[in-house]
Amino acid sequence: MATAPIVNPFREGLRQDRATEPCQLVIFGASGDLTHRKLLPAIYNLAQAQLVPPSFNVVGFARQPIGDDGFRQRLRDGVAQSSEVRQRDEGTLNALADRMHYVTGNFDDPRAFATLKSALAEFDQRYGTGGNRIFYFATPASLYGGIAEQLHAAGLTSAADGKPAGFVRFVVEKPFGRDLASARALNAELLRFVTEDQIYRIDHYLGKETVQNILVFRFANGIFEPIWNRRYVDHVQITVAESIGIESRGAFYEETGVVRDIMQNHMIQLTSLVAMEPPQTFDARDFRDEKIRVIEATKPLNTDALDQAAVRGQYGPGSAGGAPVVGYRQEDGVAKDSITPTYAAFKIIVDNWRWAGVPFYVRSGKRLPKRVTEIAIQFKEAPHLPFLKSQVEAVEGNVLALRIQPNEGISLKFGAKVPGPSMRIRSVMMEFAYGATFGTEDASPYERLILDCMKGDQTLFDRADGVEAAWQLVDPVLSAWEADRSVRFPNYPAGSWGPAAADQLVARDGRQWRRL
Amino acid sequence: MTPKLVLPPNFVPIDTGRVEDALAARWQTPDHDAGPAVHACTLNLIACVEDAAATAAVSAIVDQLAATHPIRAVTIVTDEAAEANRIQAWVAAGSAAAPGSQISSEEITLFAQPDDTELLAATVEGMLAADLPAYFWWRGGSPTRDHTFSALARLANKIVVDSIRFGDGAAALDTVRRLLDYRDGRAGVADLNWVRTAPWREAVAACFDDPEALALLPLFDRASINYASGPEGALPPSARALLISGWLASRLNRLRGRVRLKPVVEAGHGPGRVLKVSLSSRASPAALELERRPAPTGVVAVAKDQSGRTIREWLFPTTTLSEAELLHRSIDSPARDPLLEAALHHD
Repeated sequence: MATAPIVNPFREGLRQDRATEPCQLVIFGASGDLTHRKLLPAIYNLAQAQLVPPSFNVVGFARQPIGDDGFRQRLRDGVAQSSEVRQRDEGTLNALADRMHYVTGNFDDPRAFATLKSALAEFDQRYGTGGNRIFYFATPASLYGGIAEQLHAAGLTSAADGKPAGFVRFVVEKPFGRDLASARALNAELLRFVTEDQIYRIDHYLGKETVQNILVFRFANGIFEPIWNRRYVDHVQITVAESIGIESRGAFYEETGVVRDIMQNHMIQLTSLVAMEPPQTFDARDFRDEKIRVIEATKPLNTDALDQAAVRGQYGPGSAGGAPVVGYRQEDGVAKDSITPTYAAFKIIVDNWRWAGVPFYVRSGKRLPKRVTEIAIQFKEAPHLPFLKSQVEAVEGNVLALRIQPNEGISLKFGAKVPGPSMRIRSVMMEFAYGATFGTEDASPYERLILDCMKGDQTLFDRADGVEAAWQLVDPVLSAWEADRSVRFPNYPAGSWGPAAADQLVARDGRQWRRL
Repeated sequence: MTPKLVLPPNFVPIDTGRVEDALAARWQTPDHDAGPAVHACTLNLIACVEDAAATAAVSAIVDQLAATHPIRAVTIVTDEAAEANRIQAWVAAGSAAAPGSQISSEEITLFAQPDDTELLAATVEGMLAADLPAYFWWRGGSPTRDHTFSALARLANKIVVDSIRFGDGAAALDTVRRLLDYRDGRAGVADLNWVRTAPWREAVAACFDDPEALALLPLFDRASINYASGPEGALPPSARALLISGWLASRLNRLRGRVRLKPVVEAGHGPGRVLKVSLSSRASPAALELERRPAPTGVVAVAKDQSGRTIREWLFPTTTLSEAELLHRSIDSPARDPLLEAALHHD
């Protein structure tokens, strides 16, 4: 008869109700920018908050021969420079640095992986990490398959040194491919060596507190869900606007563009969270099933009449922050005749019972007037107004706005009577501001997601079918736009809200973009 | 007004009946220095000062809390020097929050005769923000048969006490246990002393997160807790030691009646402080021992297998929490704390 597994009886009711298991975190691309700017400060924050397991260490792996000392210095520099570090504590920093090691090697060199393997075995003994490994791929996606293959060949994806295998988890960063075919190929490549429940695909947007609050707002409050449907909602607008340009990432952006950078992942995630049905539970399977159902229910954009449902743009010279700025084609690393879009707007139709006939207008762009990410639920107007037309002409429909960044919060616009002897109605905003209500500082998205990975919780990570469904949606648009070079770019000046065609996209339906 | 009542300079006296108007006016009159305020409030805190001389200290703690939580805090000072049948009130004119913070709390201080309990309770009740939980922080000694406590505790969703102020022993926990039945058990109870034991509980739990240590768990059938004895020798078990003992027994039933509490003389530790927690086996040398370490402050843990071989060692950094931080953690939730209640019933 099988014996029931022993459960830790002391864990119940404590601050962390799910334990982080002992583990080694191995970072490929450990000398790179992502590791330095995001990962190491996030790991430090977790250590400072005593959220990493006591049996824990970090191993960096990269080509650059920086050694243990160099890797530890990156930690110190990253912590010193990061705005996401909440409390700098020398004791925590030293204790973490002592548990950081570095292996130099090429990603295609079997000897380097053999060295890594023996180092991990030694650290298992030293730190008591029990053969549990998290392999974080902080490298370009083109290297994922090769690294996975080397790990497998070195025997690092299964049993560790003859002992029963601990867990092995892969954390991979977006972009997951650059189109549907490459995403499928990438998934297939990783799935040759590990199973789906071992792969943690990070979309850092899902690690944001305010994004997770969309779920709390919808499903922990009884008053909103009954009106969250076609009967009451006129349309939804989602904006992911950036005021910055492409900075020094011209070559990267030329290959990516706004559709791959934002629309295929962050935008579709936000749309799913707004449109999904309540999951049975918030475990990884139920939650991700419901998210993916939204994507699957979304009508493909009609490429025969694409301009009726999608608009692309590229910024020209204009202004930002009160100073003139160059256009996209004048940026370093950008082709003079580039047709890479820096702006996109889609009209999305989620073709299901709840959302039939409710368009989701989504837009994202660079060099827009301000940095703002916001979801606005525009409600239908009251069916009958028992007021004179002159009294209510300034009244607009109710809008519920969920602000993801900055000034995270929620606002509700409604009509109120202007005090006085006559009946005059004016729209007013009722505001909830995170910063005014919760004094604690948010954990960074990477902190949350690394912690979830340590706990083995995949809820906030993308699943292969979800990634592929999202590509399936945007792939025809990308193909159509990349084949059509007749577009006249630039078509919006830096510092404006995008091309005129984006306004027409919503105006055709008798609507307009919110002024943000 | 008694000279013992020392309030921060931003507190201004106000007619008790006008407190609500004065607070409302704050949100309607833009503060040009601080910028536009956003009105948010998450809870009511009724803080009862044990002695007028402690008003400044309590006010500082409330300020620390108010700087990170938008709260409505009503601090109560009772003193014979106060006027009879009259509640005097002060409101803080500005926010306690750090410059740049959006947090803006509302702080009121009331001064009353100890005998005016009903008048005081009625005044406080009228000042609570609607629909939000009320936490009643009693900073005094044992509240048994204290009229002020009884009058104010009935307004609370959660009563917050510190059993260290009740004598820090078994009798102190008896008092806390009685509070659980207060208001027919409808009010939750938080004990700052229980929060003080959190690092021990978290360290024990973290050790058993390790699969190899967890595999030893079935062997453990007894436990011991060492606590600092006073300078004059043996001291009855402290409330902290008893709480940890109760928690161990409530989580692992076979430890019931098998937790030994041992006073030890060790310099540098205040009386009652827990110094070591061990789980062991009568049948083998298997053990888990957690011991307080001085600088850098922390708890060192060692797990030994059936042969007495060390299989795992840990270091858990710890920090001593200030009273404000203990209070902060105690007002996380207005709900009853089943873990504390189980520990109280197993000590």
